[in-house]
Amino acid sequence: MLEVQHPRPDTVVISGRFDASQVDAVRLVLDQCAGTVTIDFGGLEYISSAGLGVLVATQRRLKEAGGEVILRNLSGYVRDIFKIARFDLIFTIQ
Amino acid sequence: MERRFPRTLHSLQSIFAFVDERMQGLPLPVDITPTLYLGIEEVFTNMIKYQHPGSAEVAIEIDIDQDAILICLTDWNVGRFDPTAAADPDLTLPIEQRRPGGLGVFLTKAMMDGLEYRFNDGTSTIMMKKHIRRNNA
Repeated sequence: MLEVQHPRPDTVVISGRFDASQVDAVRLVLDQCAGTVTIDFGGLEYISSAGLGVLVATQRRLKEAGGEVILRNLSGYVRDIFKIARFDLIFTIQ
Repeated sequence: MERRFPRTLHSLQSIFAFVDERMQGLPLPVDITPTLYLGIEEVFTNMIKYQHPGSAEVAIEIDIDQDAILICLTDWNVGRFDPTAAADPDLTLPIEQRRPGGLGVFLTKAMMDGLEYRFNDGTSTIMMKKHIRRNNA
C-alpha cells in the first residue's frame, strides 16, 4: 500500500507502492506544494510510469514558478527505474 | 497458474497480491518482485486504456520454471493494438518538451528479458519473461 506524508511545507515522504491506482492520492498532496520541495523516497518499494508522470508534471509546474522538485533516498529498484527514465536529466537527485 | 481480474485500476492491489503469492517462499533476488509488478501493471493498464471494447476481465498467468518467470496477459473481444511496436520516447528531451506516453512500455522492455505481442481473432496476448539469476539471491 501507499503512504504519503507532508510533514513540512517543503518535504513530502512517499513510501510503499506508487502505482496507477494511487496517482490521485499523491497528486492531491503535491498540488499543495510550492517553491522547492524535497520528496523522500526512502520507504518507496515500487513506482510505475503513472507515478513517474505525476513527478514530471509537478516538476514542470514548480520550475515554471522558479522552484523545483528534489528527489532523495532512492534505492534498489526505484533507483534503477529513475536511471532508465533518465530522471537525472530533469531532477536534482540526492 | 492463471487468475482473472476486472479491467479496472482498482484491480492492481489484487494483482500485486497474486504476484506476492506466486513469489512467496522462492529464493529470488529482492528486486524481482517490483520488476514483475511493473511489467504486469504497464501491460494491464495499456489493455484497459487502449484495447476496446474488451472483456469484463483480463487473465494473468504466472508460471515459474528453473530459469525464468513467465507472465502472460490475455484480453478478449478487442481490436489489434500492439504496444510493443510503439516508438521509444526521447528521454533526452528537456522537461518542457517531454510528452506522456510510451514510457511504461519502454521501462518494461528495459526491466524484463522478453516482451512479445500476439493477436488472433479478437484475442490479444502479451507474454513477458524475466530470467532468474539465483546467484544474486
